[in-house]
Amino acid sequence: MKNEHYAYRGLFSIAVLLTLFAVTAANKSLNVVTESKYGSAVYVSEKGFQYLIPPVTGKELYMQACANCHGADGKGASVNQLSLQTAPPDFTDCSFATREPDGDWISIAHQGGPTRGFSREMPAFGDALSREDLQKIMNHIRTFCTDKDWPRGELNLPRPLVTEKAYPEDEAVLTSIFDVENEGAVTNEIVYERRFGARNQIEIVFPFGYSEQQNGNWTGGHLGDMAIGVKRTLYHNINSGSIFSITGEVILPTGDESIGFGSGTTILEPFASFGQILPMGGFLHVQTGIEYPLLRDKAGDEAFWRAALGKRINPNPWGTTWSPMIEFLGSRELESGAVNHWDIAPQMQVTLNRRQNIMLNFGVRIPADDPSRDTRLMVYLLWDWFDGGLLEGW
Amino acid sequence: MKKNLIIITVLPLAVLLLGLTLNLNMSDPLPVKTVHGMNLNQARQLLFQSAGKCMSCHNNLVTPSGENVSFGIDWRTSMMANSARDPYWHAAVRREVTDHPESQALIENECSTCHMPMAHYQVSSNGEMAKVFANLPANQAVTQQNMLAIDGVSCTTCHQITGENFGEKESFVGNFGIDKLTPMGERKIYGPYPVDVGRSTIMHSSSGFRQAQSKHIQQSELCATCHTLYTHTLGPDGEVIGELPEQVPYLEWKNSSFVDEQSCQSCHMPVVKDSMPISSVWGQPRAELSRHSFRGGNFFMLSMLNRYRDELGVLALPQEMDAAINRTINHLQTKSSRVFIEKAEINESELLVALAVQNLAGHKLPTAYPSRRVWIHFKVQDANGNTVFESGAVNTDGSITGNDNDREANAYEPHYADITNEEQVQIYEAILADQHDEVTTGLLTGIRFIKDNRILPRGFDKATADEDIAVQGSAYKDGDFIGGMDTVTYRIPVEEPFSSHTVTAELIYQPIAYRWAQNLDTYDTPETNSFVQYYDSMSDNSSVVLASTTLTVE
Repeated sequence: MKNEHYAYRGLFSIAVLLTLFAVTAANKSLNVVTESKYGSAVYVSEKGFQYLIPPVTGKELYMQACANCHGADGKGASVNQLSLQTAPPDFTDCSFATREPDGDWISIAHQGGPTRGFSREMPAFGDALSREDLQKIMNHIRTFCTDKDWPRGELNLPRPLVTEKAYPEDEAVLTSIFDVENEGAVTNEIVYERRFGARNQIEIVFPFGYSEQQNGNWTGGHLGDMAIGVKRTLYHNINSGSIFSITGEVILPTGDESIGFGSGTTILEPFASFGQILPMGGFLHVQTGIEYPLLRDKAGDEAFWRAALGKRINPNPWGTTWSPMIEFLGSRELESGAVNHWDIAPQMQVTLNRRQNIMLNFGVRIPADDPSRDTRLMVYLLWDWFDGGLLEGW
Repeated sequence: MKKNLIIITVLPLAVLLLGLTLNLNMSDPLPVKTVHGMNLNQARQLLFQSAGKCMSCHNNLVTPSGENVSFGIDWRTSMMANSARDPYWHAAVRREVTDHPESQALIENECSTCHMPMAHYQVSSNGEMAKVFANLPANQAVTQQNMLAIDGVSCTTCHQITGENFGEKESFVGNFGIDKLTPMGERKIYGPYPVDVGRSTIMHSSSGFRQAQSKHIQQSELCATCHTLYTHTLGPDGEVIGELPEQVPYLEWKNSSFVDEQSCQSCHMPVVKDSMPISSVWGQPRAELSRHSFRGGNFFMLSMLNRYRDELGVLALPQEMDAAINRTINHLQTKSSRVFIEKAEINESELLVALAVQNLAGHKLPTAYPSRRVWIHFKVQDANGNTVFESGAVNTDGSITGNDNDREANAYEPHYADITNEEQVQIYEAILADQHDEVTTGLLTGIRFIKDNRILPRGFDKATADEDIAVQGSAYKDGDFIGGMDTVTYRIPVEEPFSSHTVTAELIYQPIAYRWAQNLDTYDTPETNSFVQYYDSMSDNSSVVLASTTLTVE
């Protein structure tokens, strides 16, 4: 028992160190692009007189560097006129234009379309435009979407293993949870999230699992308790880097209670989610809510509170994004004498493809208060399907 | 249990490592997976890109005064861009392979050199012979090879030509230098301006080419590689029995005073006065931008391409083609020639008019492909407006009244110093003859020109000119047929010598002469049938007046 205690202390220490690393690691992407030597242009008057007009504003830069293909109005120029094989996107379409953070757009402008698995027809501006120039252009591009109801892509923070994020998304996530102690069990869930409107999202959770029997054989394919929920973003502010949403979820008793894959009752689960951008690529998720079962004899009311702290790191500024995170997970049954349960979950999310819409997160959920509860390995594969198909962008 | 745990633990790690491996492979200099369905290795072996790759940026070029000088639009309305869509070329090649079936592969290979240069050099880099008809029709191009073929003389043809053999005979007939070894991604593309290193990434990332400055692409010798064409005359069994200088405008220019004054490009690619960017994507102003209009004289084929655009797969928009046609005609009417009356008098019962025709071009007028002709339409009207004499009237079918060659395929009009009756027409043209001295329009049947009185450029000395550009026929002995001009004396009997007579002279140009079109009608092939049908439907507009003059003689 004492040895187990030391083991948990060790794991906890590692988690804390990972967190420190995550918060302090340098983000090289800030210093890669050099200053532009060509940030000015010559204007030629009708009389042929030439003089320099440095394109100072984002609009001026956009007009000289981008408008040819993307259109002065941001709607994209004619494919036939430009002999393009890929139509330029419509920047005035908020559903498209708000989803990705400035950094992704700037990466593509600096490195060219292929850096995110897009067409080579989007050229790389390289050193012709500085990071500051590109940011000015981005600021101008952001003016094409005039509906400010749409949360900005910067607020779409990396998804933790357990804590639900506040940003409404179009994505599919396959999560697997492996019980690494006592009898074996593998629980999986497929989460399908679909955005509708500027601030809303519907999600469907489809759990299924495998478990080890007393005789050592495995039994599998059991459907768990499916869930359906609706999320709405109540507040978002790109300047403060904050986003707040509430979700109402109903967990249906579709699982087999007798073999441990169901609760036997419908559970209502309202919760609130909050996301905050932190300095130096850091971010914070907070989620809290309650589980309210309709059949009290099957389960009790339970409150939960969760937080995830992490940081985005790009060793290659235009390549893979690593997001170490640590989650703190708490819960308590709402009855007298109940105790708080605490878990910690150090984890690492990594983008797998150039498009960065396929991600993998791998971590371990460690009970921190009660060594008798099982430690579980967790892994998910996430597909942001709005950004492209599974096989695109590699 | 442990075995299962190992599997389910290792599996995600394996996925992670796979993802990392894929991500680390991003240092590829040509970061594409496929190009028009080709894999990366095939794409690297590409020597060219079609013009669409360049047009995206080199378009929307508008001068401060509002003139659109876009390279892409200018080029796609030109004969260069449409060299592979040209239905006359299709018909002419079909005619040749029909006449010389044993040489079909050689003929298609040779003709594709300049009409489908990218497709030609792409396959020849693999030691194969290029085909023409396999890449047609243009509106059904599917493969990368098809698309390179129908793109004609495209951006990455001329801008990749190296200059090491410029001006030498080895460079003619399309034997321009092209680097066949360097893979796409590292290939050089030449331009006249200094390379702006800071901006070079933009072009390289989207096209695969690296910019290099070299002035050689502004030399006439670049154009000479294709526009100096010698064809091999074939005997009955396909044996080579002679060589014909089919078109040699570069050699004509070399023997004119223009050689020290103007290059081909300076006239056919007019310079824009204003400094302006040559790219719409972060371009910087460049002085003396050359328009890529390649203005020439073949307004008729441009009209045909525009009218039959769907069948021929023309990409330029109708209004762009209309503008190009007008530009071509304007060029012809302002830069090619002048006609004026040197002397006009009535002596007793004869009206004598000495008409001078001046060639303003830096080559013969007309030049190049021998289907082109220029002639004098000369008309005299009496005081009542009645026509008392007319030579060289053009008919709606494109033929010239009084021209023996239009009436009979084996006859032709000689060069005239004096014209005394209406059946005589002064036609400046090249007449081709076979080994038996029969008049022909078969390029690989013709072995020599029995008439070449095309008006000489200024400074051209017919006495010292090389055989390949020599004056042929009676024009050689015509004392006033000299460099830059010819004078024809019309001697016309008049019934009322003391009344006034109005003389009108027009110099008319026809890019595809009636005989050259109608001889194709004797072949029954899809290409010849289509072309003759096109020609007949437009023949009333097959010629244009270059210059004219009128004088009333009292």
